[in-house]
Amino acid sequence: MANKNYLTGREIRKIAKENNKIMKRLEAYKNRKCDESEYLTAMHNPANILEIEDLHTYFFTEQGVVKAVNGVSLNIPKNATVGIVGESGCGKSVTSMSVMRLLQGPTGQIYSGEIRFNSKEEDGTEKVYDIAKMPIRDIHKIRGNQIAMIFQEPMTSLNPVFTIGQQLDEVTFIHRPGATKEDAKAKSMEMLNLVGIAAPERVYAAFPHELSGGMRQRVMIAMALAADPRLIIADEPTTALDVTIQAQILDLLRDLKDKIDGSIMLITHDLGIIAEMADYVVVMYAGKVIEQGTAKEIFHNPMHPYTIGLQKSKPTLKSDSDMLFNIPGNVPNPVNMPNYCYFKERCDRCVKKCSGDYPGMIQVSPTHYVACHLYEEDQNNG
Amino acid sequence: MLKYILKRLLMSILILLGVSMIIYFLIRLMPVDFIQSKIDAISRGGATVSQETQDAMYAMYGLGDDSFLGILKGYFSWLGALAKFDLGTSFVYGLPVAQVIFEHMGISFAIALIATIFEFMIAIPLGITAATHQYSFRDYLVTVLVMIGISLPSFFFGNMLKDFFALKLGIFPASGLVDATASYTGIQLLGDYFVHMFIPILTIVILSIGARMRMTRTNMLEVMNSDYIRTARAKGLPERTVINKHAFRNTLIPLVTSLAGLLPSLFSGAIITEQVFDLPGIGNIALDAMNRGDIPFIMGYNMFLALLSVLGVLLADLMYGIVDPRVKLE
Repeated sequence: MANKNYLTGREIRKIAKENNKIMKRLEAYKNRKCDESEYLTAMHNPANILEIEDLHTYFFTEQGVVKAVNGVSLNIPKNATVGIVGESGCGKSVTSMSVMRLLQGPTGQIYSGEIRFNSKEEDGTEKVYDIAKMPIRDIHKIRGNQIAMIFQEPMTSLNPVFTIGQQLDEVTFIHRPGATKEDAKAKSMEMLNLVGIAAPERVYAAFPHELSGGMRQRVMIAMALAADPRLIIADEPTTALDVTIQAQILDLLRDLKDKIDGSIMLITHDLGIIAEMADYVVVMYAGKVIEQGTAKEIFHNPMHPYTIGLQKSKPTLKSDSDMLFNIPGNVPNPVNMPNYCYFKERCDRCVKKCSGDYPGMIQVSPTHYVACHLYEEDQNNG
Repeated sequence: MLKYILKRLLMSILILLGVSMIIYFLIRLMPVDFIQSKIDAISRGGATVSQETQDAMYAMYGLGDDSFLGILKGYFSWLGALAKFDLGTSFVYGLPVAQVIFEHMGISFAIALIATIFEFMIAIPLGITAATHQYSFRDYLVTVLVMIGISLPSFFFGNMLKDFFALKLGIFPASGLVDATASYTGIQLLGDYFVHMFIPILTIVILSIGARMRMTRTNMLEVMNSDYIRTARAKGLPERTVINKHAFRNTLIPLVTSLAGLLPSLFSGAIITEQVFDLPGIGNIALDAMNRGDIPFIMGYNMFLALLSVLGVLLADLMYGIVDPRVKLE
C-alpha cells in the first residue's frame, strides 16, 4: 500500500465517500448560525495576541487526506514579530490561511484545534475568539480589520479593473460603517503616505497595471493597514520582488510595526529575512512545528537536525566551497505520513529511538522547544 | 482613438473586397443554375427554347461566360454597381436585393434580439451560481440541463415544443407570423406577432443558453480562483460583494466582448428555426435563394453579413477598451 503509486477504482470511491462525509460535516459546521458565546474563549497567556493550539488543517483530495497542517501549536506575543520558516509545502501558508479562514472549501478544512485571538472591540473592551470554531458568517468581526494579510504575489493580488483608490477606500467602507467618501479617501491617502509612496494622488487614481511590483506591494501593505489591524500576516511578502525592493519593503514593515502597535506573523523561507526581522522563530517541517525559540536561540543554537541543515544550506560569502549544502532526500508523501519522525529518512544523526513514535516537544530553555529524540536524554539527565 | 477606428475601417474595406471576391467566385462555381431551371420550366410547359434564346438569356443575366475572365468581368460589374450603392436585382423576386433583405430582416432581427436578451439574462446568473457552488448538486443540475439544451438539434426540439404548446395545449399558433383568419391592425397586430414568435424564441433561447452558461461558468471559476479574489476576501468583504462586485466585474470582460461579436447573428436569421416554424425571416429567404441560384441576392446577403461581422469585431475591440482598463487601443 505504502509503496504503490496508483489507486484502484475501488480505493478512489472509498476515499471519495469518506471525504464527502467529513467535508459535508465540516462545511455545515462552517456555515452554521450560532451564538457568539459558542466561540468565545480565554487566552492561556494574556501577553499573547494569537495562540494556535494543536491545529489540524486537512485537504480532502481524490488521492486521500493531505494533512497540510498536522498539529501545529504556536503563540504570537503582543507587539512581536514571529517568523515562520520552512520549505515549500511545509504548511506555513496553510497555517496563515487557517487563521484568516481563507481556505478554499469544501476541500480545505480546519479539522480540529484552536486558534485563539485576542480581539479589540469597537468599545475598547477585549474579547477572545476561537477562530477555528467561528462560523464563517461571523468572520467579518476580525478578518480584514483585526487581522490583515499581505500576500506573496503583488502582481496579481490587486483587482485589475478597479483603481487603487477604489480598492483602498473599500477597506474603510467595510470596517467603518457610516464613513463618507471623503473620510475614506482621506484615510487611503494617509495610508499611501505611510507606506512611502511618493505621488499618492497619482497612485490613488491609477489602475494596478500602471504600477511596478514594489509599488503594488506597498499598496497591498497600505490596504492591510487601512483598518488598523492588531495582527498582520505577511505571507512571503518579498518573494516576488527583486533584492533592492525586498530590502525597502522589509524596512517599511519594520517601521510600521512600531507605528501601528501590532504584531506581525512573517512567513518566509528566507532565513536572512527572519534573522533581520523576527523576535521569535518557528521552524516547520511537513505540517508540524519542529523547533521554536527566540531568534537568537534558533540562529546561535539550532538544535533540530533540520534547522541545522537549513542554516547550512544558506549561501555565505565566507565559504570557499563551490557547492551549496543541501539536505538529502525528500519530504514524505503528505497523504501517507509515517508515524515515526518525518525527518528520519533525511537525518544524519538518527538514534535508535527515531524508529519509535513521533517525538514530542522538548523544552530546552524557557523559550526554546525542539521536537527531536536526540534531546530527550538531556532532559531526563538534567 | 478616432485614428484607430479610421484605420480599422479602412482595413475593413480591404477585407470586405477579399471576402466579396471569394464569395462571388464560389457562387459562380456552384452547380445551381437559375437560368437552366427557368428554361426547364418553360420546356415543361411544352414550348421549345432555341439555343440562341438560351444564350441570350444567359447573356441578359450576365452569366454568359463561365471562363475565369468571364467570372472576373462579372465580379467587377457587380462591384461597379455596388460602388453606386446598387446591390442588383434579385433573380427570384425581381426586386432590388436591398429591398428584399430589409423587408425580411425585421422579423429575424426581432426574434434574435429578444432571444439574445433572454439568453444572457438566464445564462449569466446560472453560470455564476454553478461556478460559485462548484461540484454541488446545483452545479451538476444546471450543467446537465444546459448540456441537454446544447445537444438537442433545433429542428427536433422546435418540433417538440410546437407539438406541446401548439397541438397539445393549443395556446400558441404552430407556425407562420400572422393569423391568416383575422385582420388585425396596430397594437393587436403586434400582439399577434408576439404570439407567433413565442415558440421560435423559446426554442432559440433554450438551445443557446448552454454555450453562454458554460462560458460564464468557466470564466467565473477562473476569476474566483485568482489572487485578487483572495485579497478581496482577506479585506473582510462579505462573500456577496466579493462575487457580485470583484468577481463579476472581471467575468464581464469576455461576456461584453462576446456580445459585440453577436452583431451579425442578430441579423442573419435562424435558418432552421425559421424553416420549422415557417416564418418569413431572412434566414428562410436566404436558404431559398441559395437553392435556386439567386446570385445577386446571395451576394447581397453575404456581404451584408460580412460587413456586420467586420463591424462586430471592431465593436468587440472597442468594448474591450472600455471594460478592461488594461487594454489601450492605439
